[in-house]
Amino acid sequence: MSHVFKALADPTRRKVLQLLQQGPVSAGNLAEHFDVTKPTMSAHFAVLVGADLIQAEKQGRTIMYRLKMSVLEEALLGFAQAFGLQITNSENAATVAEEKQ
Amino acid sequence: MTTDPSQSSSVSIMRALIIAALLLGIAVVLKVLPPEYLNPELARRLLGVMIGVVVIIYANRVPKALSPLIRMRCDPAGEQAVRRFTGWSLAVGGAAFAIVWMFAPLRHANSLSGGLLCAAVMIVIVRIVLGMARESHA
Repeated sequence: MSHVFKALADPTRRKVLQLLQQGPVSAGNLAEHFDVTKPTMSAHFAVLVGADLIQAEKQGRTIMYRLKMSVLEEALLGFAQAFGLQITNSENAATVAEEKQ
Repeated sequence: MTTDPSQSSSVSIMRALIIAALLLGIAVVLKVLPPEYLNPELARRLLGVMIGVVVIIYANRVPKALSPLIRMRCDPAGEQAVRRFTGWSLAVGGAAFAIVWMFAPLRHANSLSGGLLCAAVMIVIVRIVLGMARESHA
């Protein structure tokens, strides 16, 4: 469950999940919505896949991402959107800083 | 790390069988327990709440049960919307079922909880039919 909280703590990842609520989207199309580098975006995707909130599927040469959130996880996303989630764990904060670099 | 699909499906079947056996066992225990050990009204309420919780647990997992995109014959976005709607509708139905069995008068609890859960299932069916009709028009 800590993986889920860590994944939902970041606003970029929350935005990815919101975009995926409309349906499966390719990695390229998702990245267009954000002003971040490719490796950073890949790191965000990796965190979301690691938390089992999204699923990556290869279709030809493109990677499609799909939402894989349970009802409880979606409710948590709603709460995180409404009230925000604070990362207090120093390890998590270091990970986020690493991803932003 | 990869997992063998047949192994994971046999694990999930085994888990489902264990849960089913557990539920039946608890239901039998609640039924046969003498009144001096457990109040019959409390036993009925516990059973109702347990059924509601089971519905919530299974409904919670519905949006996570994905089938591969390559095998999908319908619009993936529509399928995802239906799966999410089903999960939410059944989870709310299950919660309502459990709450009714917790607090409603016992003489009304059976019909009220059943009605609420049936309503949740009917809403899901209507949503699926509407989704299919919309897709066939498109």
